[in-house]
Amino acid sequence: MPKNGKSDNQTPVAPTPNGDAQFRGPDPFGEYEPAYRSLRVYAFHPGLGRRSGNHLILRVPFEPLKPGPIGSRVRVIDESLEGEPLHPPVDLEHPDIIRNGGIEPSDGNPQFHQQMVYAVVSNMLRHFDRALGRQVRFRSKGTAEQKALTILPHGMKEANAYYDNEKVALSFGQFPAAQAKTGRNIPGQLVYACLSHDIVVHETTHALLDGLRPSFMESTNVDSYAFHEGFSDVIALMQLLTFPEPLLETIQRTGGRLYSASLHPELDGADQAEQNPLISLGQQFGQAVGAGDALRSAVGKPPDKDSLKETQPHPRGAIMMNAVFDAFFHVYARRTRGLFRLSARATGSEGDLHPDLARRLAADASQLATAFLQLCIRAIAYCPAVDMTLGDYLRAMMTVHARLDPDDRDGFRDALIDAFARRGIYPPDVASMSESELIWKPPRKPLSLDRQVVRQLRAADAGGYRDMEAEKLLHQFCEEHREDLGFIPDASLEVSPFHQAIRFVGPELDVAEELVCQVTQSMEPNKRGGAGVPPYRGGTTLIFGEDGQRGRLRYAITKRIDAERQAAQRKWLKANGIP
Amino acid sequence: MANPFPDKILNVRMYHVGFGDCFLLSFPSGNGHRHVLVDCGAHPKGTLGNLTEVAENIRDVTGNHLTAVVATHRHQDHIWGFERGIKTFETMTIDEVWLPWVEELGNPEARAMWRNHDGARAMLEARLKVAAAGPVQKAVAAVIANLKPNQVALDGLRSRFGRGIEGVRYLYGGYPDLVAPGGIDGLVVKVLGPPKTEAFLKRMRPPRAERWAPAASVDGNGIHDLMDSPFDERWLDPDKGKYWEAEPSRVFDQVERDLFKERMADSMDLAFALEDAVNNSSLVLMFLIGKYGLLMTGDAQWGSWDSWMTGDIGEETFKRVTLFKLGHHGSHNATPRSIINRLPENLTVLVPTHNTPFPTIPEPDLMAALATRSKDRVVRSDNTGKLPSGCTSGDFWIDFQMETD
Amino acid sequence: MTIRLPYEPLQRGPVGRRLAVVDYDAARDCFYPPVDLDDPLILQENGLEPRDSDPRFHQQMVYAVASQTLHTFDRALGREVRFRFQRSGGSNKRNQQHLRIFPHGMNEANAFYSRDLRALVFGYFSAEAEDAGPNIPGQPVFTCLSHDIIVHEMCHAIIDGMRGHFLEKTNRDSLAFHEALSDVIALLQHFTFPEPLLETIQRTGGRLHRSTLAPELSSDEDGVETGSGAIEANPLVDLALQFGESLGTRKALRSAIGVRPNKGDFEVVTEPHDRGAILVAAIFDAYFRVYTRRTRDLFRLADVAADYAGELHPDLANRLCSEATALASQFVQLCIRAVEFCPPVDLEFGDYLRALITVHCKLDVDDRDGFRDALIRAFGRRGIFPPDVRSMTESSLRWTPPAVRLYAPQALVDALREVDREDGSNQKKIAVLMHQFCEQNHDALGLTEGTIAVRSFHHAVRLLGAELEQAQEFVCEITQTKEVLPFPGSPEKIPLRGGTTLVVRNDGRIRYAIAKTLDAKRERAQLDYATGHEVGSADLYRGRVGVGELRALHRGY
Repeated sequence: MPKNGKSDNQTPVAPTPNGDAQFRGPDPFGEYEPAYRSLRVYAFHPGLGRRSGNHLILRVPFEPLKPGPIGSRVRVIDESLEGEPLHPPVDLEHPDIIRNGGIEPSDGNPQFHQQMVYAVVSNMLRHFDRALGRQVRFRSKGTAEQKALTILPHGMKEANAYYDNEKVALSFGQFPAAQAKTGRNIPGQLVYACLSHDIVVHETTHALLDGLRPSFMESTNVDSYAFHEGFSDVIALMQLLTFPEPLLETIQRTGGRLYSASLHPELDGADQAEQNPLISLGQQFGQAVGAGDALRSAVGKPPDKDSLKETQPHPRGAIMMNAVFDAFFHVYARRTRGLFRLSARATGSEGDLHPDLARRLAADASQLATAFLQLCIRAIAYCPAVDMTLGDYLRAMMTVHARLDPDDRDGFRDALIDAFARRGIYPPDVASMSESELIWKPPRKPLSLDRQVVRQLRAADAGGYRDMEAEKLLHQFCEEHREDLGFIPDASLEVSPFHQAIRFVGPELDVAEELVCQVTQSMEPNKRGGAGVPPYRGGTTLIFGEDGQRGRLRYAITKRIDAERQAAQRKWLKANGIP
Repeated sequence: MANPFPDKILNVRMYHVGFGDCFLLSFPSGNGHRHVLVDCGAHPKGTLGNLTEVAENIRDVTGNHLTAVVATHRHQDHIWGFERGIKTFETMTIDEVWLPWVEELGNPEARAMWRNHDGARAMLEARLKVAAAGPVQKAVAAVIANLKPNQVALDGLRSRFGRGIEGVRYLYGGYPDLVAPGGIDGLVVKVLGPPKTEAFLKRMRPPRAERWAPAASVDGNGIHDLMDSPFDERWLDPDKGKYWEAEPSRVFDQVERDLFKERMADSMDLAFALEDAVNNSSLVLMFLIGKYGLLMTGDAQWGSWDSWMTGDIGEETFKRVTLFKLGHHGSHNATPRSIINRLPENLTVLVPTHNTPFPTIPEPDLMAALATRSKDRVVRSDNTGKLPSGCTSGDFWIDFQMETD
Repeated sequence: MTIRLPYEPLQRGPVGRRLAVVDYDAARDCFYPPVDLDDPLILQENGLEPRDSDPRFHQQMVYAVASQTLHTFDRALGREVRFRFQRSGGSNKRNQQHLRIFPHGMNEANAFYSRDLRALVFGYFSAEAEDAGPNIPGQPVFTCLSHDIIVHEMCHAIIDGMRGHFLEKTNRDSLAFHEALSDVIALLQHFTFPEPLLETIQRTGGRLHRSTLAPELSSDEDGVETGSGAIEANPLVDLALQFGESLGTRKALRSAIGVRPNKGDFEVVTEPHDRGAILVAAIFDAYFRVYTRRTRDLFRLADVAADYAGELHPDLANRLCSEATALASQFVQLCIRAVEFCPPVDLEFGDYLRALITVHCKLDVDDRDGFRDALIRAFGRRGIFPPDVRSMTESSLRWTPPAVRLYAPQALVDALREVDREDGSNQKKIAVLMHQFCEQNHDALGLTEGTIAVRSFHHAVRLLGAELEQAQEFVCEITQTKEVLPFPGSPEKIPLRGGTTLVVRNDGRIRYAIAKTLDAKRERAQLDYATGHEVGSADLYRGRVGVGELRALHRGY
């Protein structure tokens, strides 16, 4: 249901003593009003057929749809980039389609493509909404007014897919498979990026992240883009692991070791091992372009301290992804070890698992994946406003997790620390890789904003309008405390108009209800002026919580434009050929 | 056995049954006496177990004939004897039975009152099933035992012990005077209580001025003193809760504290409240004969007193009292302070009392006050202290005799 | 055991934002010195050590347990719960903000919540000589040291805050429900603490309910049997152990969880605790059933025979433990949230079942663990059937929208969206608009004409269900009162109550109108009940003890 929207197209009518006759239709009392819309998609990509629970039913929150499908936040437009219409838009409300429970998965039917991208993207929105306890928005200029994400399922004819932050649109390509090493694809067959579940999610995540943190699109250091990529990979693969059905078979065929790169052959000896689809990203895509293998793997190369020598965004991001999954699998292993012992069955040994065990493992894995997914998404709120680094992300995750699950019975935090440390991903300026060090520190001296202001800003965010007066007060607050909030004196403060009211609910139902504000600074590089030279960027993420009568400033996550940062940014720009 | 009392002698016999009332009034009439029995009962937890003997003694002295039987109210310590001695009473001639109006079956207000009462009692009993540990509970248990309506006795009384309902009167304050009832020449009985309105019945606790016990422990019988401190003394707050008066959010300042104290005390004697409610339904009778005035108060409490003691009736009555039956065995809450000085100085006070089950009854201050007022003419049924002139004590009774002419 | 609480600044007492511990002993008219939990000495000990003999520990304990309970509700409802006496909009006298807790308020084997005293009062007493359980005869026993009693009384206070009319005896269920829900929460709390639970699991061979189970448990025919007396075997189910023992026994629960459910009881049992116990038993029946269902595979895996009662493989024990705790907190939430979906007045157990079902449908659409089925059966087997439902099936038990589609006027919806506004400025506005709306549509909303009073309104359970949008609902209590003489010439009039709980969706649609229409039938029923013999109880106390006081009917607590 859209925000404040109607569940049906009726507008509220002034009630008459005996209700409203016009509603006496097939569903007079609104008893059958659906909460969800069930749509079929590929869990992975067409290349897997029906195996590994590839035919998956996604249940997305119900909303009335126009042909396209066009909903409130997602608009699927089957046109080329140049704008010429390609295929007739699917009408998911059409009785025949509804009778069939949506369209059967088929890579030949463009209308299924439309349905699938809609379903997958909506599903991601749902994940983000739930994680952040708010309705996430896509990037939009100046106004806080809601903007929908446009999706071109067949935007171009090339082996590519991307997010366009100007148009706020996703565009997916279609292309003929290569002639050799194409896996299950016929050499030369048409391959659609929009049918690879993980790719769609990956691109959607770019869009969502951009909506939450527009400034992360600025490349101010080697991690900036890498993080965007890494984060999108993490989400893409992690959400695959939340589906019990695909999990079940993979678990069976890996003896419960989800992380193993390949599945047990179904016919011993006769088959050659298959890739484990759950941990490989862009499998069909990779094969189709002739790489013969998935683009990236959740497990990746064995970790080593200097893996960060890699500077290309995608592989560098993949290292962060590997770190997160490293942590995930460790927790998974730790959690399930007991089950294996119980069923008295060595973890390693081949052959199928006791169905009860398999189901348990699947349940655990999917539960755990959901937890990680939420953690990863929430951490974004605790990231610095600008100049993001992979290490900062670790700190953000640590802080969020500590907030919601102080006891950490499952050892999430240790697992994360180890995983990042193993890959030499160290946050800037922390004394050690210890939990206490990594968690963001509260501001040196207690600061607080009037609770009413915090409430107003929350309300504004929820209501999708701007509360200028409250924003002014916030601005004043920042001015007053420049020093404590890590701003430099001689540069103006840009208070981002998007204040995110977040609401985290922890496993124990503890609630963190906070307001996230981003304030950035730009400093024209002295000496070398000249057009097109990007300024130095710094800024602070302010996180306000409520306690008693005050809106206490819980964290100020600062990136001060000090000499060091200037140097670093200059260096980075040089490296990228900007004087 | 022949008439034990000399002619022309008005004899009042106070039986010692333990914690309970039993009075035999014998009025000289013609050549002999006519007898009125006021109450016959003992508290189950404070009985001497002699009720049957008492009944038999009554039969003997009255020559098997009671002109009237009065049950002031339905508490065991006033009517149990009518059960224990029912055999005896059934064999006797009984002309009249006087009961308070609340005992009249078919009176809607009475029904309402008893429904509440029984409900409450049932609840208290339920509570006791679990809460039989503390001293409070013990006291409550005692009261409850006394509250149990004694059907045998009540039925007996309502039916004039099987002789039929005619001759059974249900009296209330303001009931027309009974002149020469049962043919007792010269006797006039004024009915002062119980009040007819439930409003009065519900008022059990005298205003501070009229109380004997300090407000802090209005808990029937000062039972708190029985449990000693749960902590050793060093834990007592040295500055007596000063902190709370100073405390900024004023959660528990003096006002709040008084309220709380009052309410706790109040709710701590729920059971006693019940008892009191019934006490208030006591018949209060003034027997006038010649120069004598016998004030039999039953266990009437504040509500009842208040309904008549002020105003002319009050004046009239107090002037003429010569014999005063102290209410409720001398408890702290059954006798308003202010009446002491309204009683004539030469009167005699009869106190049917006993030190069990309630150690704090009778209330010492009250007894002292009465002693001074009556110049030590206070007679206790348990025969402690010296007997004033005109009193002689028997096996389990005390006779008080008055010349008539 | 240590309890972690959200930090709040504390004055001596302790006195927090919503709770104030006042150690005044009315029986002896004295104070015990208020503890200062921020005292460095105490801080470094991280709280006082448990010590019977130190009143300051008692103060700490009641404060800790009470506020923990408060937070359980806060979290389950996703908003700060209010006490009945707190005015909305914080515009009231400051000393009305606190619920006052008297750890040693009276010298009595008792504890109670009193609305008009704005207090929980706990008593102390000396253990009776015979049958004092583990206590030394004559030693002082403190009700404020029993975790269960504190939770139980605290629940009374909070539930009274959520639904003020539930304290009124308009039928034989009303007070019983108060007791039952408080017991349920208190009991389930035990199941959410892993440490003690683990031990129990080891001892009961993992069949937590074993001690209260008939062997044919796994044959779902007869379903989970909460029977076979020996509850001591399962300490978790012994509410208020210390207390109960030093007073002889607590029969109510035992007789309910202890024996085969018997539809007859529901007809005859009227004493609030005994009657409440039936509801408690029903809910635990459901709890144990779901637990069994959820853990059956584990037992298979470890292949433990159904009748095995020995020590368990630690891994199994741990798994079972986490299953049980997780399940327990789910039940706690469910039970608490369901209160939101109860009618405002004249509640019957059956209504609560309907509320539970409705809430759970929102929480978890496809109900893989069969919560709803378990609940329905558990209630059915005890003869608890909701008034006027066609069958004991999910669909007919779920509350239904009003018989005609209704939308609250936009103005009202807008006002409601701002309901949480600090200054409470819009409270009045909402009340007025809501009143108009109800007047206009009283038929559809199950209200009768006139005497409509808008009691309360707030965000419905915010965390309700997995879906964010479902949280956008508002709950409003509408009540109607009619004062009548119970019988000709009765000294006092008694109030007859009717009313409706409105659940308004954020687009103004009336989602549910949970009505107790004050029609002739209901009036008759309430009147009969009021004049019938059972009722007597509360009446004499009314005024003396105060309606808001549960102690009068508390046997023990």
